[in-house]
Amino acid sequence: MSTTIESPAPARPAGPARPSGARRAALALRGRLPGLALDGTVALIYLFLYLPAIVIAVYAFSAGRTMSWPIDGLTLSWFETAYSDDGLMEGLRNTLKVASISTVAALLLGVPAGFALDRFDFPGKALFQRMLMAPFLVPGVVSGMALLSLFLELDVRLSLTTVVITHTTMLLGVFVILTVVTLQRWDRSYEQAAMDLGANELRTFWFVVLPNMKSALIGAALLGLTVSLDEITRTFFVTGTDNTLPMVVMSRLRTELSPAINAIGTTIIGISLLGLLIWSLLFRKRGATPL
Amino acid sequence: MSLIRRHRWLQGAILLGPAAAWALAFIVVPTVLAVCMSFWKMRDFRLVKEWNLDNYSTFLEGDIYWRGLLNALQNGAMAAALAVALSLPLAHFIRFRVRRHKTLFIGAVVVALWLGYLLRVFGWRVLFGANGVLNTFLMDVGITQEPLSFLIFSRFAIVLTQTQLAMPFAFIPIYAALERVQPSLLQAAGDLGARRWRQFVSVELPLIAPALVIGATFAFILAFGDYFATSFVGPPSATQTIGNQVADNFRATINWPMGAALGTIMMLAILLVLTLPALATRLWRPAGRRRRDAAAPDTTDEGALA
Repeated sequence: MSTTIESPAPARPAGPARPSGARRAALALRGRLPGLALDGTVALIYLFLYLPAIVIAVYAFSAGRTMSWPIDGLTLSWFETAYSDDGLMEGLRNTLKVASISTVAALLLGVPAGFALDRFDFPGKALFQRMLMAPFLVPGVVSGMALLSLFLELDVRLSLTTVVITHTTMLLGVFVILTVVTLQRWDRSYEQAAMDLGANELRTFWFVVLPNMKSALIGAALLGLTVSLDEITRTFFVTGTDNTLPMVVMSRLRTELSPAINAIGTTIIGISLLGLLIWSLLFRKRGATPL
Repeated sequence: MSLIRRHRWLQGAILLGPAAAWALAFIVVPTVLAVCMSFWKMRDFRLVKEWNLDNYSTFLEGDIYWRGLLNALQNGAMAAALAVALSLPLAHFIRFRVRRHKTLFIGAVVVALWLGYLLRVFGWRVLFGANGVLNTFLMDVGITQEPLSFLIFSRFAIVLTQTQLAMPFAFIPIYAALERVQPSLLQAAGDLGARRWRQFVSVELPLIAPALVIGATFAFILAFGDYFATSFVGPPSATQTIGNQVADNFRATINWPMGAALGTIMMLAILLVLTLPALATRLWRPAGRRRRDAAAPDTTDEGALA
């Protein structure tokens, strides 16, 4: 490996002389072709990224029952079918419940912890941070399996509660890191000023630090909601009879491909994009870059 | 003074305590327990805590589980290679060709993550199914007479879907590294006679090599651990992966210790994959440092000329 990296190095100073003006122009013309090829490739890559979502959104409005070419006209009836489907709607309610509870729980646990990690040093701090991120970074199958082992050992009945515990565990590390990153950009002299004016640590946090972290926290919450809304690989292990929307959709898809699924999918895409829009607007105001 | 110090220690403990307790209960204990469980066994559908190595010997002796691991490793390797191969032109394009609305182009890659795991997998099925969009289109136009069968429920479909799922994760570190590569370096190489391709291979790639490894690692872990896309767009059982086997052992056949053993093997595989790049970059570093030293005067020369 090292030879392939080193070999060009001596070649660079000893390269050929600059080409003449006319030759340069010809080269420039020919040089445009690779650029155009690159543009085309990039367009195809973006298409590749979005094709599945586009297809789902298009067929949510297609009148035909089968999802084939060509489309037989437009309709909104699949949305009606989806929204009047008790199973799907219960799944949606469960998902929203799970996502909001786990996001709030993970924020309540994670933000103070991130605050402490920013301010205090203790042995094993780096290891602790890495461990917190593990449930988010490892494949869902590993994280789900480990938590299911615990629930089986303790004889806990699998339910939405176990799903909430799993999602909270997954989000906790993300929120801790987001808090640490946000606080690293924060100018501590504001806190000193507040303390000099007589505020204690709690008041300083509540009235000075927290308001300044507001957009970052809302951003984190939106991120958490979207991740939880979509989670399936961990949930599959720890879910009971009550199911989240992705699980309901998954079990439906095993038996049939109904365009109502496209409609509910398009709804989820809509909700996610709306959340993203809110987030990007919030971050633009602060001048920070998105994650 | 000592009281204040103790007070501050207490502050940290109060802030950190709940998260640490949660992590202990739901990260450390479950992981240890799963590893322990892999050494236990099932009897009459009940977990019996008798220590044994049966699950691991089943893994080593049987053909199915080995193949499951190999399939997952292959899927991961292919998805990682493709995700990096697609991320490179995209990152290069955004870094060096896009002048306005750069954030929009980057955002469009990251937003792909937001569209939902399930939906992105499902979308491929709608697109590639026997009665799906592509097949019916091809038959309608008259290019093919019958549905192309390799498109769905195939290895092709698995790798394609996993590449798409993993690509944003490979793109992010690669783009971040490319952002630090100055265009003047490529210009300098061009002035010295290097064509675009040579500039790319000899200057750009070596500078972002560590990021390529990180991006590939992310993509690999995602595809290696995936059991949902494989079961959803892959063939019924021929290319079952170790992830599917873990899921099946826990939730279908109720052989928790076997599932735990396979899960433990997955954890070990991931740990190995995570430590390999660190080793590789350690070996690469001398070459990288020499390059950077050689590159530094170029930048100043460019500045002096401009």
